[in-house]
Amino acid sequence: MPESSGTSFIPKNSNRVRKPRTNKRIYIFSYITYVLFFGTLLTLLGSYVYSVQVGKNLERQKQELATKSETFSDVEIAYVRDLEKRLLVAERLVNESSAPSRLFDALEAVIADTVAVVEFTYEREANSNFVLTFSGAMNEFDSAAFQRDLFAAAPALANATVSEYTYGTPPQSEVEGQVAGSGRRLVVTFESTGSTALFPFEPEIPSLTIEESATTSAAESTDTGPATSTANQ
Amino acid sequence: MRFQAVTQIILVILSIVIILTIIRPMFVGISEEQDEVQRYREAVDLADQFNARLGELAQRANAFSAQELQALDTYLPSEIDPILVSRDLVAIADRNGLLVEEIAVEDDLEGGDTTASDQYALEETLMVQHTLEEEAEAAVTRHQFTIEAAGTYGQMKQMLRDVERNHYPLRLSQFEFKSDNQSSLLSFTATFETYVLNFDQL
Repeated sequence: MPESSGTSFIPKNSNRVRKPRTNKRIYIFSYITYVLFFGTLLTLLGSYVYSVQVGKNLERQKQELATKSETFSDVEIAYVRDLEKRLLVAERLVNESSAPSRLFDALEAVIADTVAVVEFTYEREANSNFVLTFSGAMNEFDSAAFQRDLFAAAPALANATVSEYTYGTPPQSEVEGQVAGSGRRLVVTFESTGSTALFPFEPEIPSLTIEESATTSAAESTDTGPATSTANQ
Repeated sequence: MRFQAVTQIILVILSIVIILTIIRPMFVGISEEQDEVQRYREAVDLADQFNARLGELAQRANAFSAQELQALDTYLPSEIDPILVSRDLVAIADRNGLLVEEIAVEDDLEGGDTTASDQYALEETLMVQHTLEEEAEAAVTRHQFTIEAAGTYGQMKQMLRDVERNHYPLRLSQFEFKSDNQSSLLSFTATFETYVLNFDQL
């Protein structure tokens, strides 16, 4: 029987299975909802864990601070602070210490032979400055001018100025003094200001030369030294 | 379908409620705790610095010998005995052959700068923090000793030199002498200051 390919009148299987149409709607609101909810739960969990960690960290810091605070000794702190203050004030006093006696050396170097000392005052001011007044008696104004030039040439007393002078016949009781010449006397007062740092205190350091009389000298030096400091208690 | 929608709405509401009532306050609490942790950390750092400084100072303090501490206490004592200071001054004058005519004492003067002391007292009332230097300077008091004596110029000068070399400061604040040209003896007046550091008065 010959095949009649492609010519059969019998319809081929037309009962093809149609794929069911699936409903592929995307529920965006559902996704957002689930993401939001589970995100919230995760955040809650994370926050709780982090909160616990921060709490532990805080406790650790508190304990560390308490441990370090326990190492402080109030007595030691008070002792160190008092000592530090004492050292600060002592250092200032040492740095400000001066030797006014050296002013006399400076004066001796510049006072002319024709001038006789009448009066001398020294006053230290609060700001470590000093005011010095020196009155000298002389016979002539030339001596006063010469003395003024001598002061001007002295580094420490260069700003000395004549603050006042008197010229006349001295009282009878003073006529026999050094300046009794012409019968009249000129008394000039010089005033000078400066810093006490111009005359710093320089401790005497004994030399180390060995001599036969070294022991004796040391003993003598001790004897003529300053008073012992038993006053401060 | 309706059930699903209701569920989603409930979940959203629940999320919002959780965020507002639990997570947000938790974040605020964490933030505060973090700030507190930072403050404690800074305090611990400061404590470390303080300990280091304290250790350094304690080491420095311990490095002083007892003799040096005694010398410091002599140089700047916490109290003073005016009678013994007067005795020292007279001893120095006697040693130099001077004739002491009079000695006078003026105690418990403020540390030199009255305005600064007053300012310190005012700031103390206002609880202003002071540096160690300011505290120390406020605790200093001066004691003045005025001595009138007679002697030669050389003796007078040597006395001043000896006073300058004293173991505690006797600072010359005023000095005066007059010469009458009739004798080699001078009469002079000298005022010396010494200092006390007394923390109890603060």
